[in-house]
Amino acid sequence: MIILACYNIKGGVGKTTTTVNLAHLCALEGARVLVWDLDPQGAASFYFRIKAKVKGGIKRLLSGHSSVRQHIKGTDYHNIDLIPADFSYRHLDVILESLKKSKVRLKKLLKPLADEYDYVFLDCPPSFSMVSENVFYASDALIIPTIPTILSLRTLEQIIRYRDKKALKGTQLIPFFSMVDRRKTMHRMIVEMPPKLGVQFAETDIPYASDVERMGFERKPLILFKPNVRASESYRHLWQEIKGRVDRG
Amino acid sequence: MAAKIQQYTIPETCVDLESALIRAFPLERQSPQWLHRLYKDTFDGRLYQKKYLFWQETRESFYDVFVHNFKTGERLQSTACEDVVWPAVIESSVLGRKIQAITKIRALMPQISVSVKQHILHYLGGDEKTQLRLIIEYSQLMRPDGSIIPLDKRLLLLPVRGYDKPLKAVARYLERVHGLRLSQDNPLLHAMSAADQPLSRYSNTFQVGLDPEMPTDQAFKRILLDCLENMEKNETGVIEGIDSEFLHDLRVSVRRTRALLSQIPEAFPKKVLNQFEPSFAWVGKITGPLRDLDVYLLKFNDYQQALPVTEGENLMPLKRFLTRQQKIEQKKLARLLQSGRYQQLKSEWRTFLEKKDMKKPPSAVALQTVKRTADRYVWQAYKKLLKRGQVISPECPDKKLHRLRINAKKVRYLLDFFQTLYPSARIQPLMKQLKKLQDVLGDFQDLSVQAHTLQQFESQMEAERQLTPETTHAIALLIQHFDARLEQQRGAFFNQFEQFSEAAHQVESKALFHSVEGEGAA
Repeated sequence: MIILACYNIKGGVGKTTTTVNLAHLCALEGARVLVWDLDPQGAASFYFRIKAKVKGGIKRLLSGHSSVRQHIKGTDYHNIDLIPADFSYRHLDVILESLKKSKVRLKKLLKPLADEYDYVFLDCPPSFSMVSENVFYASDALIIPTIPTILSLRTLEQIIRYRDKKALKGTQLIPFFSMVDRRKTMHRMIVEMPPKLGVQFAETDIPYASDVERMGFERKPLILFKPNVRASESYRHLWQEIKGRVDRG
Repeated sequence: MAAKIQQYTIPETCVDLESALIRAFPLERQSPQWLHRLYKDTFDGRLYQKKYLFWQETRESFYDVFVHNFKTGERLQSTACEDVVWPAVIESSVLGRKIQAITKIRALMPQISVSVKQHILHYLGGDEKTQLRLIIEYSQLMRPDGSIIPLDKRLLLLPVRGYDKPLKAVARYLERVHGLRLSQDNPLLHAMSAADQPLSRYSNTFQVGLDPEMPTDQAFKRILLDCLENMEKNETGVIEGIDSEFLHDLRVSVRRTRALLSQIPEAFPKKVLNQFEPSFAWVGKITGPLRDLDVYLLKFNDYQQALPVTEGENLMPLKRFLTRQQKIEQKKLARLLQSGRYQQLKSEWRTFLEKKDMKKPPSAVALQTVKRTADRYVWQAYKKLLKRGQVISPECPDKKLHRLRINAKKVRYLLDFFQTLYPSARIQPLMKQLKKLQDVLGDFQDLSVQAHTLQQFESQMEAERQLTPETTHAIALLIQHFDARLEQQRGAFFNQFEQFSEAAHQVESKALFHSVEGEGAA
């Protein structure tokens, strides 16, 4: 079971759309996929039309009083299940802090599902917190959507430093440029000559596109309602690239 | 996350179930879709035996691939970019791994193709979320003459994880209102029976039942006829190059035939032996080179894994060479199996085997009961094996172990032929011990021969200018690896032979085969 986290400290960079589209592409290849919506806003749950409700709240789930399996819901797509988030997830940090072995709690909860799923996608909330630390410990790779702006690159540097400080070199970082608007000189410059930060950017970038925004209206992965647009093609390439990098370790 | 499908057969009396369901539940109808479903299994029905059903459906340039356990209702779905002959093409999926674990080295072959019209209904909850899928399938198959045979109608309930209530409600409704009950029917069987196509019952295990009182010549003809039929069943697979097991099984039948002719020649007229022994030796000879190449290719991954990663990669030119040679040999053999000489051999052999009585019995052995013959010859071969095995020393030359392997094989064939003449509970443990000994001797033989054959391949590659210094080095390492394992295997022999020749087994064998009557005959 490979665990991929879609992560960034910044909000609004395309984490959830990336999670939904990559998870869907992955399932189309026949892999069994679980998406865990860790964001109290429950956007991934919304996209998959699953009610943002966690029976007994997140505390019950994290403390092990209920099996993680009980919270899994099937989506409308073959091979994709989801653990929804609800508003109780806003306390995720506090609850994790209060538990023993708090840094590896997420990893421990996912372990029994290893035979059931080939890939797990974590849709993470935008923060630097105990949740992030759990995500770092649990994941094989962090997929980091990055808008090609100076501030976003600065954030990426912070994530890299954080990983190195926590001695989590085993967690691969796969940043890619998201919401790229080639009409903007700065976007073009950064995408064409990304700064050397010690991590390798994915070769594929995802363009800024109103079709991607329409996902919220359609509540479907992009390729299901706009299979031939550039953004769909980019997601396909991005998934192949990420899969290749994760396989190579 | 395998979904447990609930399946119902819709009787003719249940008219317009779809409309009734739509009236009773919040269902959204999807446009009906037609699809071609191709059921597949291995030649020897490995999936069917394990209660699995495998099929693929063509979708644009992809294939939707399914595996369904018709006992538990569990179903897995995956996607393949090409026609699934080898599960390796979907190896990365759990479905692929599951199938691969069952089919092993056998290819998936088409069984039957049906056209299916699917009416899909989505049970929608809040936010228009699908909470249950209902599929009504109308299947039909087309006969070669173009006529269409409708098959039974089925309703499938595909549950969505975490949404149990709709499933329970619909199941209750189907039972109470329409009297439908869950069915575990296998749709493949329905389709095959509608098409008057029998399901393959092929098995490569020898299973000819013999009556102990039968005259030997009749029993032998029955055994040999079974061998001939098995040869014929495997011919098409060899000619079409479907998988390596066809040739393996064909060769086993040939070897069994040769073993019976050579071990108990007294049961056959001299003329028959003179005619057919060399002919079957010829079949053994022409099928050998392809089998050798098959074995190398089957073991290739093991070879690579025995070496460090880079050296393993350096063996790839050898694999390409073997694959090319295998294709050449396969074509050559396909031609020979369609040749007049081979066809004539089979036809004359069948004529002999189907002839009721021999005018002049060749010897008393031919007329005595098969049990008496079996006792005598199994006991002789068994004693010979023990005697030859006991003189094997750690320093003896390899060829002595090779000869012993042939002795063991002779006993094994005789036990295979005559096993039904003895109580299963007593003969099976002996056969098991013998098989273990054969495995050790077989591995020893393979390791000993492989090094030599590899050197031959190397020379051929060099002559064809396909050899790089890296590949030469990797082959040298592989030969070293074989040599090291050869010594280990020699050690393993002594341990295995000790178990085989245990006093208890000897006593049991004597009791089974060395009857007073048998002794008299000897």
